[in-house]
Amino acid sequence: MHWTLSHMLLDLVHNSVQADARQVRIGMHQEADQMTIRIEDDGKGMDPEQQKRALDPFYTEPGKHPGRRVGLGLPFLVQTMTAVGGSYRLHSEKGQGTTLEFRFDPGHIDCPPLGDLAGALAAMVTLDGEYELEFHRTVETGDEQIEYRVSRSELWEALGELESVQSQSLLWEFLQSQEAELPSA
Amino acid sequence: MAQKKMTLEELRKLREEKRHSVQVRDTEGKTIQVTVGMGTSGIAAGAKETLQTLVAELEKHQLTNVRVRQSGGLGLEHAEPTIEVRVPKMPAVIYGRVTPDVVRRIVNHHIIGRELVDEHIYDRPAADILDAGDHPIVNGE
Repeated sequence: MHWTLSHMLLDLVHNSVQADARQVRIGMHQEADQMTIRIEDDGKGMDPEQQKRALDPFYTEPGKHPGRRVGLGLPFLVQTMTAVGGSYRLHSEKGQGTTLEFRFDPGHIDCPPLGDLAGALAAMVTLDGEYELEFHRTVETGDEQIEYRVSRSELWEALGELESVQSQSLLWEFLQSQEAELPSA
Repeated sequence: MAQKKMTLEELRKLREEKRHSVQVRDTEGKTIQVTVGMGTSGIAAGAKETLQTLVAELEKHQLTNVRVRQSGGLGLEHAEPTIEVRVPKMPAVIYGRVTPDVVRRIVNHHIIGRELVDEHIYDRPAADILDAGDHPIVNGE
């Protein structure tokens, strides 16, 4: 499995962008002993047979990885949820898109740490391709809820472009400041 | 001390300030492109940390005319993390096992010093990964 949840999230979002999604929405909601993550895209989607195969680590979409026949994005998610006693739901329709939702206890002893979410988010919004990405993170602590939202288009607009070193450096700084307000996971 | 949450307006201002304060280092005025392989195996091997170190090192040397991009796997899963470096008038190469230490060497030796880091060269870009027609700087053009 990936060694941080941020790596896993980045990998799954990469799948969405590679599936030609124009819109990727990520919701991340955290309470005391439960984290719910939902990734919704309008990419090419999968029929039931493809969904079954996507969960098989020894299968990958033809042509996606020249020279090899394994794909590990979704199997890593399944492996992680199995290890931590969490659950996942995959809903996909061919030509419509894919929604993934998973819930787990982030405090489970076998749960990977959250890792560098700001860095992963920076990588998610700078992938090649024309797509919108909306990210909404909420953390509930007692009776207080802290949250932030970012979208790729507003970051693009604020920075002018997202490929230069200068933009990417500022992007990280900005995202780190959003994360800094939240209590640690 | 907790970092203050930055607004988009503050981000715009910072961008403008940086644009005026940074003096671009001479790299012959041409664009250098570095692509980081960010597929599942790349991420698992630390490609995100490689990307972050790359941007930090380029920023440190004020190499602002370098474009940093991401792709899926570059086809060398056994040598992840991998990066492809395209510098005008130098051969395009794919470096493998690019840990943060190695990426600092690549920036200093290849991008600044114009010398290949031989022991980490794994391949040139394969035709099915990059279509040269899409890349105006291929082979030093």
